[in-house]
Amino acid sequence: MYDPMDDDDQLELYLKRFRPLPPEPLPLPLPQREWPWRVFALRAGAVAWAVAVVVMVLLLIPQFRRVPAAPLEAEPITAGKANAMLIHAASWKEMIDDAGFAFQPPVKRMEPGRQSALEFLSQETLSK
Amino acid sequence: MMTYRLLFAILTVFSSTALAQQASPKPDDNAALRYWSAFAQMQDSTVTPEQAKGLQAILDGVAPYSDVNYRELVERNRRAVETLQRGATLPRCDWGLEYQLGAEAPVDYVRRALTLGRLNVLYAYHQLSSGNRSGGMGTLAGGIRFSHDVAGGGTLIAGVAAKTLMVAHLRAVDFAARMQRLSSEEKTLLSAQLDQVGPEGVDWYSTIQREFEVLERSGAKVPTTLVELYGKTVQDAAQLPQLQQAIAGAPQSVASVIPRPQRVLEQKRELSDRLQQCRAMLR
Repeated sequence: MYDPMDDDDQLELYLKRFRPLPPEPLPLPLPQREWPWRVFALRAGAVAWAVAVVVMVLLLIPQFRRVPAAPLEAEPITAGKANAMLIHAASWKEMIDDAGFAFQPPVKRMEPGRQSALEFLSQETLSK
Repeated sequence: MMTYRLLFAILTVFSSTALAQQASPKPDDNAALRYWSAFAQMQDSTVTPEQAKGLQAILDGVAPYSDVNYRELVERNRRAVETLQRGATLPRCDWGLEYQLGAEAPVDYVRRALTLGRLNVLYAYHQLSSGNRSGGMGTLAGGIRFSHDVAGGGTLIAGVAAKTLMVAHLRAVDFAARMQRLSSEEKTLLSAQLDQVGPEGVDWYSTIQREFEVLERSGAKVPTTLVELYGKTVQDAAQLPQLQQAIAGAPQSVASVIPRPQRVLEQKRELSDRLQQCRAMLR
């Protein structure tokens, strides 16, 4: 059977044992620390490095690289233009190359310092 | 009587259709269609200025081929070269050019042919350097035929390009012969190909005639006597002074569009000398 007196006893017992803890001191506001200029310079340098690294990584990814202006498509060579080239060229061997006879390759983007192999192979000057 | 006439008419129609079919060439015999496919199959890759210089030296025959440097370029274009080779076995080559357009007729195939032909030379060097000698000699033989086909039906520019390519192939043959003595099979293969391209390799007379045809369609009034004399001079260089005199005496509007015959003769001589050397080597 439930006896409500038991609960009262237990509560009384608990209250008798209760000892309040000493209160902790209240947190005071932190003093404004002045950053030394070295720390500031270090942090600014680190941020600059991080930005530089991100930019370099983006430049390495082709779609972020600034695409150089695509070369103009060479005009198709016609019989009339070919005749004019034969007439006016100082050398027939150089004629085709001078007149933009070079094959326009499907690859438009060339790395700096490199050139299209097919364009090179289409140069008449090779036969010199 | 009516029945006979009807029967005659039907037979006439059938026989003329059959004759027309016989006379018109089959499209699958046309090497040019394969060559156009090969142009479309060409794959580009980049080369450094040093590699470009190396390519020039190789094609000039003054430096050995380096497979390390050019293997990638050559391998990327293997399919294009193989298509060229299949085309070179076909009996005829008709580029299907529209010379009725006169000066506006596109002849862009010439520069693509230059590229493809040079890739063929490099491919042959690649095969020779990797020990596939029979493959290399076959590639060169096919390339000689291709070079000849480049000039077929073309104007003078096609003839000049064809000569350039043929010389590059003949240099490669010479290189292969210096690497290792040509076997009797190799000699037979190359001799047969050289027989097919004729004594001069390029039909200079036809290219000149085509050049004048284009000029005429473009409105230039070149006298027939001058055209004939140019043709004769291409076949016999002794006529050159007479031709030069005729050109000098022609109206300025005509003289200014006629290619200098000395240059044509120089091109012809250079190729003839090269062919002669090669034929002597194959005997």
